[in-house]
Amino acid sequence: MVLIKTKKEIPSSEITPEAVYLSRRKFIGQSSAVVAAGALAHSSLALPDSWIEDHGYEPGEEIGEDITPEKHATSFNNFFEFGTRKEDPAAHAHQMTVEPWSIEIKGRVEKPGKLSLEDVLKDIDLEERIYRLRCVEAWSMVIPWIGFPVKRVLDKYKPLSDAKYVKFTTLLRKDEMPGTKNLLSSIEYPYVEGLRLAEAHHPLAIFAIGMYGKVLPNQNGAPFRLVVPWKYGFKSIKSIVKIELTKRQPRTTWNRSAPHEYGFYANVNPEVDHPRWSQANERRLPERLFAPKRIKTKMFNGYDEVASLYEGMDLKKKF
Amino acid sequence: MAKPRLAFLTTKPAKWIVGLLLAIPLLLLLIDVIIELVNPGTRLGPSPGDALVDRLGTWSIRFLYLTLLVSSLARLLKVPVLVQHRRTCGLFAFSYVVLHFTAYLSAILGFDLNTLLGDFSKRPYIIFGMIALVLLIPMAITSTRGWRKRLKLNWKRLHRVIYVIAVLALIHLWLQERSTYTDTVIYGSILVLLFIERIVHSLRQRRTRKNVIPSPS
Repeated sequence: MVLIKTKKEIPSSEITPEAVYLSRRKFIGQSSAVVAAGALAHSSLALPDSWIEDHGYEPGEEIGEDITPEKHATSFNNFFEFGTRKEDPAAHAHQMTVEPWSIEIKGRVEKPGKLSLEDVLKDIDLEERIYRLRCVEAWSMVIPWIGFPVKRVLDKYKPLSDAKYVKFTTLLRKDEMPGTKNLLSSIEYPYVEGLRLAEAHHPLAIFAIGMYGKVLPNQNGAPFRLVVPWKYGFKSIKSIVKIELTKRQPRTTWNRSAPHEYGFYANVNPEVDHPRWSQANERRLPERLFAPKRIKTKMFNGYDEVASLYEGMDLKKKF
Repeated sequence: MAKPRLAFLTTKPAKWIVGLLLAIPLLLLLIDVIIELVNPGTRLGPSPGDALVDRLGTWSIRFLYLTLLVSSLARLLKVPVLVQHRRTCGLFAFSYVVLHFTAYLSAILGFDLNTLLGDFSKRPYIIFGMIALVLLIPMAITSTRGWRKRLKLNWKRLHRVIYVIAVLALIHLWLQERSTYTDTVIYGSILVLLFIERIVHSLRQRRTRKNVIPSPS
């Protein structure tokens, strides 16, 4: 299984003593105002770039496929709050304020509340996960995320026994998100996604705060996003501000916009075509001009270990 | 007779200049393609095939509608000589459409004909685009003066197919919209205006004919 990782030996000299580590946290807290004021190069990042490096993370397991170059993963994005063209998010997402950032946890949980990103990250060990990302538009990339299992966070706030679904909501701040002002948009904001609780609890489902060894750039969903590698990319909601545990299936954005095209489950499935294109193949990016890299799409994007979540379900109907 | 100020528009150099201006987007794209081929990932992004097809498609519809606009402008501005440049616009539109399709075949499909056939059934917008391309072929062939003379009145009839093509192009665009109808609304509004101008023009012509009043020119 993917989860069993060979721990890379970290020399004791590199392990940060707790006192130093804590003082760094304090420093981060104090410096947040400075960060917001734009004193650092990446003024809009919630955490300074070095934070992940300082904090350390368990390196991800290689998957035997080429990692997409960082410049492509950070310049070819779907984040419609910033525009519909692939280059729009990289051009406009810097307008989004991500410091300070708080996440509301509500619904069927024992301990609801509003938490700062720092609170959410408290006592959580970071790990790298090298995942395939399969977009519903039939292209794919391989991205090294840095994050932690969704379950680790949910467990802290104790879902009640009647909680069946998790609903996630993206930030909506119209003055910082030019794409949300489009009157001709057929999708509604804020962007909402959801999972069954059992799916969210699967060890492959992670919250990411970084990629390529650094904190997430805004266009990739800074400062806190979901990554569910066996589902189409649109399920992996970005820049999350609200997590709600619910009894009923949440109404998710793309599903509401075009229910016959985008199902709630949206598991990668080569046998269920999008009404307007085939999902049997995908193009692995980056490609060279006039040399398309068409590869076969695998069930669950190749993550067979999630199959048990859907036992007895007709995935052609529950697509 | 053309107004003396506009006489230049009918000359050969004017045709060359118009041709060169219309070729600018193509030249810029060609530069990007060459740089992209030498230095992958620098000009057209990680999905260069899509980017190329997309840009050629955008210019196709722009030139198609520009061709229709030439006749409208000639009437509205009362500069009939403008129509002499309509053919150049039309042929550029045709060239962009052919390149758009060629880029789709080569850079996206990699000449994989099975996928092409699959696409035909799975992607209705491709059918609309293909019909538009096919309909453009006889128009391009008969665009010369010789064919115009040979076909006489039928030439005008044949070239009215451009309106069908303009609508097909809009449907082709509309069927690909995912989260916003911005492009469809923009190009659709332009097309509606072009149609309104033609309807108004033909109504006026009919009235003048009925009244048999010689126009004071």
